[in-house]
Amino acid sequence: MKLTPQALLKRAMTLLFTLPSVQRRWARNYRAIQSEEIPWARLSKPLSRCRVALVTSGGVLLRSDPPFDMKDPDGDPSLRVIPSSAAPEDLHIIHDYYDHRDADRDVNVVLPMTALRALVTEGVIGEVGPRHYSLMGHIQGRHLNTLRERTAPEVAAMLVRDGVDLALFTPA
Amino acid sequence: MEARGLPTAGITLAPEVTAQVRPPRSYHLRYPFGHPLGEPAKPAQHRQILLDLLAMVQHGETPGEMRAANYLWRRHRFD
Repeated sequence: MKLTPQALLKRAMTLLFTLPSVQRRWARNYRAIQSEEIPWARLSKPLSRCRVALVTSGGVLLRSDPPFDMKDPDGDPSLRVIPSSAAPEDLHIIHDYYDHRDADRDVNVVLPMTALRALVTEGVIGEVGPRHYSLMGHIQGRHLNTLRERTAPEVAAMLVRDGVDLALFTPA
Repeated sequence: MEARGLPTAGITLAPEVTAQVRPPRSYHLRYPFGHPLGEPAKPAQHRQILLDLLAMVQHGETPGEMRAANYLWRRHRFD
């Protein structure tokens, strides 16, 4: 498949960002949404009775779902829902802004569904929530407010509706 | 989410960015972008990192705490 110059540039950038020095330099100069307050909640029950769900910004989604929008330079602030019963082969990653070749081989690198299920079997946690949630992490500009005002509250409401006691976040 | 009574913990690969956002609990792994749980097909590694995150929720008492893992990329043995 022939890549466009833009696609080649994106691929080169993702490879560049696998270098630790480039990663650190980017992080030092990045200006994120600054928070004054730190929200805080405690577990309401023992971990062994908790229902746990995952939230990732790794751009993971069901193959049957519409892809994240890679044409918008500010990213795609929309949400994808992943049934926790989904098999790895039901999933793929749409995200042009990080090198996900390893996560393509094993989605657990960004969305540790298998390890989480194993912790239920071990009795470490009570159960896995019915759904996990996925976003595309490359959100900037005008979509930052959408993420904060619409998508994040939507995820929180769905987690509460799912009866989840604890959520774990994984970036990309 | 915490405001709705739901505790959370998250992995960070970019602690300088996370320090600006100030989430309730974060766990810094010195891993390349795209690898928050480490390497592919390493279930013991994925398990240990999840256990570490869960421990932060279970025992952490400091809002905004960021712990750093000492797992060297591709060198630490989890098995």
